[in-house]
Amino acid sequence: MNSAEPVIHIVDDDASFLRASSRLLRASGFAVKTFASAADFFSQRDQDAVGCLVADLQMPGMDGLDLQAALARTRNPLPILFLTGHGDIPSSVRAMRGGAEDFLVKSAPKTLLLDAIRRAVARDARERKTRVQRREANERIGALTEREREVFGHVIRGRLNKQIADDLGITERTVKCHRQSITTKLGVPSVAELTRLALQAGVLAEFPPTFPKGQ
Amino acid sequence: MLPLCKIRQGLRGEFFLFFATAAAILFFFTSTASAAEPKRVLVVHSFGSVAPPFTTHSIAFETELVEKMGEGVDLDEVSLDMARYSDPTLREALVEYVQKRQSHWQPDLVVPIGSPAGVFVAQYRDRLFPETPILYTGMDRRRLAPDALEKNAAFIGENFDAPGFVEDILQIAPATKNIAVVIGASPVEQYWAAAFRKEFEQFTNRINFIWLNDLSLEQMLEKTRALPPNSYIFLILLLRDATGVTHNADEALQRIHAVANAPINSIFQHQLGLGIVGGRLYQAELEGIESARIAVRILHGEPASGFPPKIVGPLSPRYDWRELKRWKIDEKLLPPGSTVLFREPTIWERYQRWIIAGISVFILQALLIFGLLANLIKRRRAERSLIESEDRVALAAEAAQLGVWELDSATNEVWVSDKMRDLFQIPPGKGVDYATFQERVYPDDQPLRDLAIKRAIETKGSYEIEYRILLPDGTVRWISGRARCLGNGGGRSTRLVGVSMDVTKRKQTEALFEMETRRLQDEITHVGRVSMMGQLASALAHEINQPLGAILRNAEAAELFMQSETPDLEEIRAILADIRADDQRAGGVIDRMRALLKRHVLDTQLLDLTELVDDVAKLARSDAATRHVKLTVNLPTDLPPVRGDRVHLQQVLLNLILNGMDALKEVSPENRRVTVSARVGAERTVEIAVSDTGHGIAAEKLTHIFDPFFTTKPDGMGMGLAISRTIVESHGGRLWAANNNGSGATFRFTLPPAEETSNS
Repeated sequence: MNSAEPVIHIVDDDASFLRASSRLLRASGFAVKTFASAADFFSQRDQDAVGCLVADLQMPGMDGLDLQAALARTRNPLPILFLTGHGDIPSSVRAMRGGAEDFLVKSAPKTLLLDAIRRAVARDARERKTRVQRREANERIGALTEREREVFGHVIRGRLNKQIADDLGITERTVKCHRQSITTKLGVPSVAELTRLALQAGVLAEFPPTFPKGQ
Repeated sequence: MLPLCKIRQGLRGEFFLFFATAAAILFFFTSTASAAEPKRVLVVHSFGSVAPPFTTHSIAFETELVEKMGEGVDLDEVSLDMARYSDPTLREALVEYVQKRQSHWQPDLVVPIGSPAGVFVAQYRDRLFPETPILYTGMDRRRLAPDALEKNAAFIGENFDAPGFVEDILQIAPATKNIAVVIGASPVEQYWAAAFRKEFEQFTNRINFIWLNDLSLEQMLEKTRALPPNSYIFLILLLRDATGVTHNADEALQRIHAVANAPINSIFQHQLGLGIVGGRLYQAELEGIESARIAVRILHGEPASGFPPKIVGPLSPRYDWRELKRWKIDEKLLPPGSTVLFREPTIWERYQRWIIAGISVFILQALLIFGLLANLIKRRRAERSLIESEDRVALAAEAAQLGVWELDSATNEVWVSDKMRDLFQIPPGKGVDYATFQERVYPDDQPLRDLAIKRAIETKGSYEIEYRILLPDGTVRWISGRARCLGNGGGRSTRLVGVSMDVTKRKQTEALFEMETRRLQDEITHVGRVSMMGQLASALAHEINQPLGAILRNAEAAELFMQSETPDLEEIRAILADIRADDQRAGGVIDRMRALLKRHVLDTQLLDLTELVDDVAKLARSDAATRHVKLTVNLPTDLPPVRGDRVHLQQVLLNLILNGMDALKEVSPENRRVTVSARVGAERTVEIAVSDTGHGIAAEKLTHIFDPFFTTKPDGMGMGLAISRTIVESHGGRLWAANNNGSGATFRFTLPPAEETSNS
């Protein structure tokens, strides 16, 4: 599924501009899908599509920024490139803060547009890979029991078995058992690897640093 | 301190579910009270924490037990470390220690792992665990007294086939004359040394056994370094050597392997890969898992004596490929059903992908060359047919309003389509050459075109220019010209093929737009409402940029399509039609803008208010979007028509909407709303309201906001509301403002219905 050909999704309420952009991108060698509105995009798009989205900023109904916010909540947030009749600073700031790849006026030169699209497609591929890694890491960490997860949190913070045992009120031997089981389930032998896994899964923040008791 | 392991956790939900649904398993639980307390298991280790194969067994056992029982088990362990402390007085101290521990922690099951632990538990059973079930595991059956299993005990262990080990060696190394036996000198090792020596007697007529059990490990290494030819090394156990030094058998094996001049075999599967050749090996791990399963059943109430003693046999023979290679042992000698592990891939196996990739590249290259040849032939044919189909191209270009021409650089001959003649107003039938056309080009632009064509011919490239032509009747037209060299450049001549298009209208629109923008600027200065006009200009810029953007994209696309060997003329025609439509659209926008911006006297006409409000909302919408204001129009369907000046009333409404948006700057984006509503009041007067959700108007300012030059905005001129009120009043209506009950303010103006105005 991830090896699919990237598709450039264009959303614009201006039918003529939509047609013209589609022609240019097709002639430049891209696969293109066009949508007359944000609503059309959400109802007709291929949920697993790869590529990027080129959206008009000002559209009736759901505008470009709404579209960006809604897309960001889905499980396949394609990078967005915004086009606008004329740019204004607040919108562009908001769009870029929302993670937009670029913000171009509709009359921008072809090379700018095509470069931005190539960047967005490349970014999509990159982010897709990170998401897969993250999901896999999450699945692996998800297989831990509650207690193992707790011990895991301490281990990646660099706590010694003795300290963990003291913190959790269990014996060091039990901590070793849990660690054994954690390493088997996660398939990584070293603490550094475990920490990298937590980082990949984006769960590092769930395990705040702990401090020895009674100090 | 002895290491302890306790796992105490609460009862899980599924435990109850299990209890309720599986009545057949009910007998496992003597009562719910006992189920709630974790079962206590005491593991008795023979040696310390790193003593393979015993630890391989105990780790597998503990992991499996915790996996199966979860929170239902509480593990504790005692390590006898019998390799070090086998002294009888120490042993007595150990018994006392284990006894005392039980007043704190009474186990439900005792699991000795390894024969030293097994022998110890069996010997002191009556003093230590008279009532507790015992599970003996990880030991040879021969090590326990026959009556050890009689009372509430289970057994799972191995029954080492000592002659089998020698047979395994002879199977793969039939020429073996000497077997060096590596084993330590701890009590258990002394036992095994004796047992194996006895079992090996049957081979002494053909094999010379070299016993190394009275040596230190260093001495053993020396011996194995220089064994006579046709020797083999057999490692039984190495826990403590004759000098009393404790060893890790796995590490010792690796050290021997590093120096030995003969192949090595051992007993345990986990040592395969550490340097042994292999044969029928015993798997301590499997036994650990198996015993954990029996432990679970005993803890669930099954009597320990109900399990018949279980002997775990050796695995099917398996070998280390690297060792077979090292000692040049032919795989044909291996018994049937053998598994060879650690096989290193052959060149083909290792580089299979590279080889396939290499061949693929070769085939691909061949295909590519073939394809290129085919393509070349095809292209030659296409070029010929292109010339043949000049007429067709001309027809299509004609329909697309494109002038098409072709120049042969060698002969300076020019072929042109009829449309090209039309564009340049050259009479049909008149002979043409390069100069004929160049003469038509506006004098200032002649060098530009000349240079572009020369350069294209020189570089065999293309060009794209816009230039003016001066027609015989004195009119000036703008031409967009694109051309490109054809042919492979094999000969001296180069053919340049081009299209020309009249873009005068687009140029005019652009010029007009520039002019209008300038005029708009003038208007702004004139009216003095910087903010309103600024917003208006940006709204119009947006409107006009749509068609201009589309024209640009279409032109770029057409350019790319033109680069194709066989341009899709249908597509190009569709593009040109779109360009023309967008051109007209841009013109329309300019017309509307002009109508809106022209300052003129009151031009009253019958107005549909719904349409008027919608027009203004359309203008304001892009501005609303960029400011993140939700602009809502909420009109009843039955608004009566009014009589008034469309443009002036639009200005009033736009002004009120823009003011409303200005008032929302301090409000968070999700609460920025401007609503335009209308209602029909007394005497069919129409009242239009523009309300915002800002902070409202301060009471002391409310009476002054309609005064000229009064403003609350840093960039305001204070004229908007004053002018608006004048306009509304000139229509016979009223304009006023009030703060809302909730937040923000509402501006309202009334307009009398059409009949009354017309009557008055």
